[in-house]
Amino acid sequence: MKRTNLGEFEEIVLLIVAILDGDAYGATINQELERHTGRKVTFGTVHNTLIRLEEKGFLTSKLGGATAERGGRRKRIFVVTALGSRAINDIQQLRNELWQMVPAHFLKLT
Amino acid sequence: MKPATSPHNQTPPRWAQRLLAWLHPSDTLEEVQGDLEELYVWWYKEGGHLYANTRYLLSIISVLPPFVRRRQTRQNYRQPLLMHPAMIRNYLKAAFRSLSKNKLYSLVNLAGLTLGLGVAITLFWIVRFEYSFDRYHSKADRIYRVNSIDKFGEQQPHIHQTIIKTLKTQYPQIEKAANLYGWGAKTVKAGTKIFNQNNVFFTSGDMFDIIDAEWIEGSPKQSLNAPGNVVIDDETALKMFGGNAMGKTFRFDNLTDLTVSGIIRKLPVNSEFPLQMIISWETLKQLQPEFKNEDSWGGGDSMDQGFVLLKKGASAEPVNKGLTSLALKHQDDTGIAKFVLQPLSEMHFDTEKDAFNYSMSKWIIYSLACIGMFLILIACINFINLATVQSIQRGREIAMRKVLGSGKGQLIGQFFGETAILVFVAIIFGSLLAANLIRYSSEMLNTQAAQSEIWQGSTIVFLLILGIAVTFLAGIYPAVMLSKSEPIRALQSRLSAPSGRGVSLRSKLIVLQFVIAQVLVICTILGVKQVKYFYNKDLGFEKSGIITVAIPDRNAANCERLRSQLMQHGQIRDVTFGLTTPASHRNHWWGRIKHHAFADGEETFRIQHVDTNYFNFFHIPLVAGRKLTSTDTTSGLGTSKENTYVLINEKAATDLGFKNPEKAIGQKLEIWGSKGTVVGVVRNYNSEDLKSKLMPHIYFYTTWNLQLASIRIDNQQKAAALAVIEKSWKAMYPNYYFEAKFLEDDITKFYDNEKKLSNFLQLFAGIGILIGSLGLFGLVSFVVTQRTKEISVRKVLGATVPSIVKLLSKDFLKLVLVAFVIAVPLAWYAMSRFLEGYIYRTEIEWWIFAMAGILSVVVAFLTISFQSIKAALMNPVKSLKSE
Repeated sequence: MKRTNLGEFEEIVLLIVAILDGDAYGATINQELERHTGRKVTFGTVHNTLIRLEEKGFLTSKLGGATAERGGRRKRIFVVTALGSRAINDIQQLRNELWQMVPAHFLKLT
Repeated sequence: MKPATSPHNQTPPRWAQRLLAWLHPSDTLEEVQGDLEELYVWWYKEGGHLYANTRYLLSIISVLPPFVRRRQTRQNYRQPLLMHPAMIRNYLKAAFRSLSKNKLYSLVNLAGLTLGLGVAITLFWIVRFEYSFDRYHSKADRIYRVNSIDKFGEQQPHIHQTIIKTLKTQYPQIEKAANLYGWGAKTVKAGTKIFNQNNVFFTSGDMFDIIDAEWIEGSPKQSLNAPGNVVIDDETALKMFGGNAMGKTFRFDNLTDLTVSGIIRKLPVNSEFPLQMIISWETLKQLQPEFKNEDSWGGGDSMDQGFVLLKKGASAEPVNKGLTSLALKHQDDTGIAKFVLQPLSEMHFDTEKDAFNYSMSKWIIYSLACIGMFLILIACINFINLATVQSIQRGREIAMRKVLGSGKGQLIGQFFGETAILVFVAIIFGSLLAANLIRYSSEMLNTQAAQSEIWQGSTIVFLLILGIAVTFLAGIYPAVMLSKSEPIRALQSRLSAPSGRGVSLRSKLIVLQFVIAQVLVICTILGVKQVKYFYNKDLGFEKSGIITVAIPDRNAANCERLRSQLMQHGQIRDVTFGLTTPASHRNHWWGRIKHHAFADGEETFRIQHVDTNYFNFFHIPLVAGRKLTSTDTTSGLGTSKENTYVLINEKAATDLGFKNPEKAIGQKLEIWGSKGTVVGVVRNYNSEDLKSKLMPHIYFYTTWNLQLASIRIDNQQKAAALAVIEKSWKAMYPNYYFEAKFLEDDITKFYDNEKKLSNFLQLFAGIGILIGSLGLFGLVSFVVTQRTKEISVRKVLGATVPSIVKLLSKDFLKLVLVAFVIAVPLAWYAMSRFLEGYIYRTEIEWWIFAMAGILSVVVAFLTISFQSIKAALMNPVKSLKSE
């Protein structure tokens, strides 16, 4: 199977963008990340990852309209592309397949 | 979501915000600022002021360079290749269309560039040729000429054979050393045919180990060892023997028989060694026994020079020092104060010494290079002027291109491309022109560049570099100006007037052009004037209507017979014999005269041998004492007798310390070890060209050294007189080659360099003015088309033709006048520096400047008025109705 070139953090960010579904921009992604994973990330990490994902074609973005909040500054809204959703699907499928192969007694222990 | 407004204390530190705004990439700044502000509020709620600040600062640092990742600009539109074939085709089409649309400008541009570049290419060939002299020898960097300087600071021309012998035997640094003695032209007789053989030399085989020559037969080791051996070049072999010459014998100068023992390929033209007939040194020893003497130091001939080949890595300095100290030991014999080994590469540029081929001073070469550059500059200025006025017309094309997405770089490239096309076409025409010009170069300048191979690899390289440089020089300003123009302005108005700055730049360039042209004109007029001055200056003796022929055998009885035979004919007025005529470069004999009145105890005099009629013949008056008579022979010279009576000239008398020449009578002078008594003083005359100082002279009456007959003829019957002279001379000397010369031609030849240089300058000045007026012509015609409507309206309102011509010409003529004001001091300075080099010189007079000024104003006015009168005569209806 073709390997999808996606790091662990990238995968999580991609999933969060998918979860946020149209309301994904820097601040919200950062907040959701911290909320769900419990780890504290610097904003730069999120920012850079978003740019990298867009370069890889998993995300696309456009600037939203002017907002009343945050001093009228525009938000960059991220959306998962078809390539991006296939990538997370592929990953999930791969994980599932792998899970199936894990011996049953292993799972029981946890 | 978050509250729309946050409380005052929930804002992040101001300085951190500023840091972010300052350093974060601008394209993502807005969203990042917003995100961080939102996050700050959230952090604040979660953990309070300190927590929020800490996290905020960490985050800010994480989005500053070098940590931040930059968003790549998304390419919505893929730029086609700049060098796409379709674009190139488009550029070519645009270039061709704009050139053919403005045929006049293109033609003017092309003509100006062609002229300027053509001359520049010719000059390049000449300069390259002059610099190529003797570079081809395989050991060129180790070859030196031995030069000596006497205690009066003058270059001594000759190198005595004793020095060569010393160099060979006592200096381990010297690999080879040889004398090379040029005899100029001599008569040779092969079978029954008599030839005048140029470039006759005496030397030993060693010379050919120093310089390179291609041997067809024989070798340097064997061919020049024995007396009677001679080596000739293939050209001479063909001339004398029609081919196979090896082993054949001919009669040389009616002196001796020589056998051809070697044949070399004709040496290249760019050599100071034009060896065509090389006779073995052993032969010279037999012909002139004094050359056997390799221990003494005295005597010598200016065409007898010395050459050495240093061993690899050896330095010339120890040799210089050793020879100098040796010379100082032999002061009484030589008078030489210093020896210097001169590198071969400098030999061609040393005009002080007699050259075997010809020498050229470096300043001439530098001037040529400068003039070439000036002409290129003038042509470039033309191009710039015409291109900038055209740019106004092309404004809309450029605007259209810009609107359609052309970048600035692309436009600059396009215009450079157009310039390059024109420049390279001009270079092609220019090199064709240059190939023709170079053939006349020897008439313009003392050079043989025409005989060299002009289309070498370096020519191609030069043309390429020239093309690129001129394209850049001429193209940069128009290209940058054009690409800068604003599309809106060009598309809005039908005709955009040239901006103020552009006009002033054009004016400056026109002024510069005319400054260069006028300086050239002034220099030219002065150069011509100086040459005229040389020709017309009274030299102190009569020079017109005199024919000279050589006396080959120096037999006084034969001279008398020739005289009496000639005098029987009515066409012959008078005959005299001497070593030379009063003014002659050739056969210049000199000697050191000793007398207690001289500063050093001695001084160098020019020695002239004369017959009793000499001073009468040349109308040189005696200022004191008596003339020489046939009893005053020099037979006592070299013996202890003191019956040698001599004449001196006024200069010699003054040098002896006598203002009044009468006082010099009776003075005893010592020359070459014997005494002479002064019996008379003759008036000074210029015995050299007017570039040299007056020399002290000493005159002997001799019968053994009369080498030249001077014959005054009836100027009305030149042809008949020449025929008579030839007949009598050939009857007397059947074995020699007859050559008659006019004394005036000989004297004119002194100034060949100046004459040729002034020819060259005339050409340059002409071309400078021509290119300048071409540019002016183009500019005026442009201005006229720009102002057609204005002129028409003026005419309708009653302006007269002269007033319109005046209106159009005034501005341009003003520029020419400004140029004149700048050119005058420049030219004056250049010319006074130039004239400083001459002892006898013409004056820099005001009318020269006036003439140059009037000339350029007239030329400029003619150029301008052609167009402006045409415009003024136009029917105003025509231009006004078409809108």
